[in-house]
Amino acid sequence: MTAAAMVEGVTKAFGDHQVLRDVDLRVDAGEFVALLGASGSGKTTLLRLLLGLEAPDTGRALVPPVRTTVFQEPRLVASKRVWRNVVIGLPRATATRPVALEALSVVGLAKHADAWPGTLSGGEAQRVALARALVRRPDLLLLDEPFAALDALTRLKMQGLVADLVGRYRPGVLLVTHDVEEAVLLADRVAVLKDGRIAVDQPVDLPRPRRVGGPEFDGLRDRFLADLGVVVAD
Amino acid sequence: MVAALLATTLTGAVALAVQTGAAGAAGPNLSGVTLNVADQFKQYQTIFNATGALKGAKYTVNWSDFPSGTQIIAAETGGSVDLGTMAETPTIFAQAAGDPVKVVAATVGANPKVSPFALLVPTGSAVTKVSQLRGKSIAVQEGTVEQYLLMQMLAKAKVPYGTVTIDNLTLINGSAAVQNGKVDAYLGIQPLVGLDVQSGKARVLTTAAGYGMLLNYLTASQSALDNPKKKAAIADFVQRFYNAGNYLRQHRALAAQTYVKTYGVSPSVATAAVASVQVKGSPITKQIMTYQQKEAATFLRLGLLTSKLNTTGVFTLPFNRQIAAAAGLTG
Amino acid sequence: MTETTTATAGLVEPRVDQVRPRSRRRSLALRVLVPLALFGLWWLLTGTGIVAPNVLASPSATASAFWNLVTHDDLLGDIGVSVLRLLVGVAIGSALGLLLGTTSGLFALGEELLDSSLQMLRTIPFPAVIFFFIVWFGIGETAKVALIALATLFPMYLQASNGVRNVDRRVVEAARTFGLRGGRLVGGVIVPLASPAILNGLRFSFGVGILALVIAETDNANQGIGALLYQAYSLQQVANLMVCIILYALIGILIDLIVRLLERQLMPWRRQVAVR
Repeated sequence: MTAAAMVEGVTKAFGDHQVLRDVDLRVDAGEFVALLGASGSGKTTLLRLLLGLEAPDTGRALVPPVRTTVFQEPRLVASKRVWRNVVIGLPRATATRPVALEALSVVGLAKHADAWPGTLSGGEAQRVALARALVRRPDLLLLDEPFAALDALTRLKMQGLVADLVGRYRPGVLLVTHDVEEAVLLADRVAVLKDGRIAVDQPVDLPRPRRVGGPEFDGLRDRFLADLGVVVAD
Repeated sequence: MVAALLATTLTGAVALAVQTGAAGAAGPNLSGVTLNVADQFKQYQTIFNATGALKGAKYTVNWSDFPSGTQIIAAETGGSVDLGTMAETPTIFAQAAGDPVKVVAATVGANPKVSPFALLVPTGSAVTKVSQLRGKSIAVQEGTVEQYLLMQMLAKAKVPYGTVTIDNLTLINGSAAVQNGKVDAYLGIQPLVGLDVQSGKARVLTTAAGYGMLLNYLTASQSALDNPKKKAAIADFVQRFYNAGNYLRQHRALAAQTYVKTYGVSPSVATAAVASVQVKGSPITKQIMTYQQKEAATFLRLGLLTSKLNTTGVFTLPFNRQIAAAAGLTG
Repeated sequence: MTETTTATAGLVEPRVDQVRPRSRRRSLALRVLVPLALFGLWWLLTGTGIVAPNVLASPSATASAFWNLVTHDDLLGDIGVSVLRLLVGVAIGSALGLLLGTTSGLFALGEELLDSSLQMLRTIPFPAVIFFFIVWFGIGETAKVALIALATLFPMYLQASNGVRNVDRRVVEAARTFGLRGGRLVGGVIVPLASPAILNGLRFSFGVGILALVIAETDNANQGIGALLYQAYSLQQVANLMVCIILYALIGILIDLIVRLLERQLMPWRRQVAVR
């Protein structure tokens, strides 16, 4: 099985603070992996290594040529209309309006194609970011806590949308999050980053389509919460 | 030689002091009065310093220096200057504008064969006669006597004033411009004329000798004239000035020396400059008033003035007659 | 009834700070009122002779001086010359300032090479520099345009380098991860996002440019509003002086309107701000 992403023996320190100590992680093609960790656990650092925004001190991170990201903030270019943001960075031949419209309609925002990003709500802007990420048919989709800044209702809708899109296009996905329920809801596999290492790497064998709640769901959720050091009172 | 010169200077200064001292003996108590006098290029200061003519004056003279008569009139209007020196031209525009300034004393050119004003051209210029200046650019400071002299020169050479381009530059900028060939001609005054020629970059096309009366006025602000103490100080000052000027006319070497000291020019330049400036004190005569009126008429004709002007209003005739008589001038 | 009273005893109605809605008509009227009053004061002071005409010309004297200058002295030509000087000078100065500013803002090397020198040059008061320029370039157009360009370079440099440096790093980072590099990144993302600061720099440049224009074209020109101003000063024509000053002010107002228009055209994305 080909890999969509591979992290081998990676360490990274910032000054005196050792953030990552010998991390090994693999994402197979078409596999949805959620990386759980408390704030400051180094999960964003790991993501930035995969993005090439930082370099590992030792070890290596391998990624496919076509890879895209959805960040916690939409990070749209305010001076470009929505549709241009979607096709940003694409070669001229493919950076066309019809291509953008297709991606926008998948996320339900075709009618906002000519709007300015400043006029969108938080949820709408993140959907545009999602369209931007998926328009290039990436082999690896990196999601850095993409719904953390959204309100709970929008978050639920977005989780459903991501599940849908991933099901359709089947990129390899690495979702970095602190939300355990989100991880169990969306991922094929959950890895827990603790003390700079992958402490747990566990498949999620729940049938799809999934929904939050139910004994199996709650069991997995509580298990991962415990791994993170959060004990749920009964 | 030097000793003799010094001796002459000293005795001359003493003699002068005695003369003016006697004149200023009577009158109101002027100690504590400050007279704010505006000079141009330190001309008057030079004259007073060379002759020690202010010795014994009870009032204090506060000198200031300006590059043009126009600015002096502005300062008089604003009240920061009581007395100023200028040619007759700025007073015409001052009167037209309604400035509260009056002419209290005058000097005229003593020798029509010399003039401190000259029309210069760049050294390499092909122009040899004033008539060739038609269609060319001439640097001159507008609103000053230089402009009027230029008008007369052009009129005499039958070049209509409207056919030349007037570059309204200050005397200093005009001097630089003609040296660098940026203008075709420049009407300037000593010692700038001498310096330009000395630099080798400009030559004299013609001096203004024979043109105009070489008038120079002392003007006072109305507010100074309305102040009795200041008015008395002005009267005393003018009298001393008449006497000093007269003395210098007769002692040219002394004048040249002071010129060198004040302006830092070479003795030859200084001597030439002094030779070109021969003026004598005069009461305000009919001839002067007619001259002023004629000048105003010229400005009206050429569009620099927008309405007719009766120029007699700018002179304080009774005051002038008083001082002139005390200085022994006849008109 | 008594129950409610007891239940609510000790409660008060919160005080509402009412913002009274401003009637547009009233706001407009007030805006016009003060300038109108100033004009009226001008009329009154000169009309009654409280202020002498050699100090301040009356509105009617100024108006007829204006008309006279237009019909007899080619005032419109002079205005054209001055405006052209201003536009050329500002174009050169702000283009240079933009180039140097973006270089300094984008590249550490650029900043290291440029910033300290420009910050030093900036402190030289440009009115003093005009004398050098006249000596070097003479009294022609070069010295004037050079002075305006010099004066306008620095506001634009500062705004451009700060604007570029303050562009949201996260957006630039994201654009990079989507494949934008080099020229495409600078031109497509960084400079457009810095354009509010850059256009503000243009506004400052024009403001300083007009000052430099006045200094550059007074007492060493024979065309332009400044030449007219100096001539009016030389000939003590107060009404003409006022016409020139009013013209300079009007040019300033016009330029400001043009920059506003430019902002609307070049930054349409700033017009609508989401209110959610």
